[in-house]
Amino acid sequence: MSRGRAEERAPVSLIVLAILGAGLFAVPLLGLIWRVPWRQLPALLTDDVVIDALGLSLVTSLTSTGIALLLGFPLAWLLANREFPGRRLVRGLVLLPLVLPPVVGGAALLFALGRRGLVGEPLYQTTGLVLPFSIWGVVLATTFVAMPFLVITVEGALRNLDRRYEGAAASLGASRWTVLRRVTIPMIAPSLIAGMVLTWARAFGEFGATITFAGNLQGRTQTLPLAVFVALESNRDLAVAISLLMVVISLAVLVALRERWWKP
Amino acid sequence: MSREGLEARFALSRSSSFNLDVELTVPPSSTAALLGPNGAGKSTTVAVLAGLTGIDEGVIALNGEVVDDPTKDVFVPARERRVGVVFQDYMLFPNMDVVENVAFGLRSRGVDREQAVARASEWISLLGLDGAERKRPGELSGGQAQRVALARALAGDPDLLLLDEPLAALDVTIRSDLRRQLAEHLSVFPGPRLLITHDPTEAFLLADEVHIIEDGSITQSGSPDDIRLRPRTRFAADLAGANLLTGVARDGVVTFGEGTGRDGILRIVDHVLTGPVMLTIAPAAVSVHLERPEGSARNSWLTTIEQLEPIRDRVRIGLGPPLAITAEVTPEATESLGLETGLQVWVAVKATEIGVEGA
Amino acid sequence: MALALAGALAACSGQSAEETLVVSAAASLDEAFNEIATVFEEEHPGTDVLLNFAGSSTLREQILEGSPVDVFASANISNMDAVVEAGEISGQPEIFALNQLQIAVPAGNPGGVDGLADFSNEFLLLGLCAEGVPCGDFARESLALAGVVPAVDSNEPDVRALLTKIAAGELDAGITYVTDVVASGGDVEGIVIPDEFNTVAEYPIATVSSGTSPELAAAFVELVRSETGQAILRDHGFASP
Repeated sequence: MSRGRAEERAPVSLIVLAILGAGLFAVPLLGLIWRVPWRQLPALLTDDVVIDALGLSLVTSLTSTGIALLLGFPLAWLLANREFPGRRLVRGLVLLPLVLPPVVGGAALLFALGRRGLVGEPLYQTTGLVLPFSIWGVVLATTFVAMPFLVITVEGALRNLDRRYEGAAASLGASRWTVLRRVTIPMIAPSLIAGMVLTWARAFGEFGATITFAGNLQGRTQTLPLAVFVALESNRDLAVAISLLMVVISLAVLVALRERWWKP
Repeated sequence: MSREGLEARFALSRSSSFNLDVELTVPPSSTAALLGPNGAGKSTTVAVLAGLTGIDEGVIALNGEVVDDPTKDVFVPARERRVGVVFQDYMLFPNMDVVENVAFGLRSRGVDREQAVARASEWISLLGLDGAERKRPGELSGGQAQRVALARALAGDPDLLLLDEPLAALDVTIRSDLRRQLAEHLSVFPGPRLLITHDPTEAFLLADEVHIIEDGSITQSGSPDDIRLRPRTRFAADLAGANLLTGVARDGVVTFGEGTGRDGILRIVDHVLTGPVMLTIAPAAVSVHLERPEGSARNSWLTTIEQLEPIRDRVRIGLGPPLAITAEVTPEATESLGLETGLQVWVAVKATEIGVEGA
Repeated sequence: MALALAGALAACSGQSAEETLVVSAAASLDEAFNEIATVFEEEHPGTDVLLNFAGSSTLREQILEGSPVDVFASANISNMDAVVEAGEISGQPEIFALNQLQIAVPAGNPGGVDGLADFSNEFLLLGLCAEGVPCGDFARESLALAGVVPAVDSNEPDVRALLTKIAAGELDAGITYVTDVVASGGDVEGIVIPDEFNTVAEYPIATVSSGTSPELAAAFVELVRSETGQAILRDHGFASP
């Protein structure tokens, strides 16, 4: 890698700090890899607990992402394109799960949607539906914490879109739906995809809200992060194996989408 | 009232300081120009006519059909109005190639894919864009982009063609070529055409009728010559300022053909340029003398004053053959020289004061 | 992790390590140890007792990973043994309290639970502590003794989490310690588990070798085992050994 003549070498202090920063990411990962029981790995990873948790994690995180898209896109569109009373309040609410500790989020969900909850109780009385301790509880908990990512990303992308494109499309006779489908969405596609990946990743890794609201039961609500937590108490090798599995999956997703990440 | 073309008479307010009050008629097969400085209300007019914004008062009718009338609660939105718009910056959809862009209007209105592509391809050929069909907007040159935007607007068979500063985004060096091409393409469209611009040269060369807009209202409407010779406001006078002459250049001498109302020659600085040229001379650069002037001006000739028009602090002098141009002098000069219509005077223009462009 | 940070902060706040005491105690010892800590701070002015409550297995892991803890009070012997085996304990662990299991139900007993047999009822929402957590292991032992195959809906990571959900009415019943039912006040009611199915949980306490305040640690253990400490423990539902 040759440097242009005019390019100065970066200041040493900057380099040192940057190395420390990179280290903050690399060192824990190395610590994890160091503990991996390589020989028992195949047996550990094919354990029931892991298979169940993996299936649950994948199903719930993907479902969450889908729901986040379905509900979050319209929300983002309204926030970006329409002035309405209370807009700032709504945006604040959307951002709330980002700053709230996930356990608090889970507790709030419990108080609202649990069997004795504000909405949950009437729901239970009328339909017998119990959300906590079920797979839908997991989906709800992960959607709660992950959807803000989608809304924020999409809203930002829509704001940055030159409105005149939509005007041009309208002048050419496109209905609102056609404009959305053929102009708006393709033009924000990179951001939309990045948003969805972030959302999925957040849902995939969620722990606090899930364990608080959905509980912890193998095969029904015990996602990979919960499985790690429980395994830490009794079977450290299993915990490390599951952790490694999660790291590999996450890296695979990031690598597969890396170009989209940076394309403007 | 004619039943075809554009008839618009409207007013709207955007804020306490911005009020638009416009009356505009554009017959079919003619080009009108809305000429004014930025902020005068040109973009809002585009939005109004395209149907992207509604008016507060008035009526807009296209080919006899009312598309906006607040008193009757009629408002046809953009997507239902058949207005083809060439936007400033063109607004070509970056995620589609040229064919898809041009076919967009047709597809949006329900034409099936095959037909839409076929018609789009016709327009692409017509505008000399063969070979660029699969290119993305980012890969097009400025001139190509402009033509794609035009093709896209025309492909849908609109009732009105609106062009918002169509040449502004182009490099100055190619602007005159493209201006000429644009004039040809415009003449193909049988409906009314409205050109919105801040560039007087563009307006005067492309339009049959020029409407000058200042601060939200139209201050003068007329043919380019009308405005040039009889500007009604200071701004119009400034706009029309330049005398525009077309001739043929060779070795630094420009000749003006017979029948153009201009005889004689002018010497210019550029000795290289050959062929058809367009000359601009600021009226203020034309000096008027009672006797043959001595001095450095390479161009001087005898002519007659046909018109004298005081405008505020200046006097515009319309001169007759051999070269009908306008001069501008102070009222004091007019008085002290005793200038009046019919008087024979000598006129001088320095070669360095003559702007030359290949036509 | 959190402990290391706490230790570092204590050091930064101008107190020497000798004046800070870090005590890792099982979650069920929450209220009792808070009171004991207050007494200790009064008896040793200038001392700061930092209490770290979590599931005993979590605490065990922390010590094994090298956290600078001074005192470890576990809810069962096996977790303490693991730490002893790793050589992290100085001296001998001593049993300082006894606890028994009890069925906890929300106030009013909406699920109509009367005994261990109800834990096989699929229509009730039932919770236990996760396996590996002492409370969870003991509960499963009890259920096995009573011949009940449990239909569990959630395995909570620690006793407090389990209690919270019971108190909120989100679970119909769970198996916790007697002390937890006492600590929950009016929100939770207890249903006795007969002795033949019940286990006696023995709580050992010991000083940890990687601690930074060995003298204070020893003094704290003494206070816990003294009549003062024992009285406080009994107040909260524990039994003295």
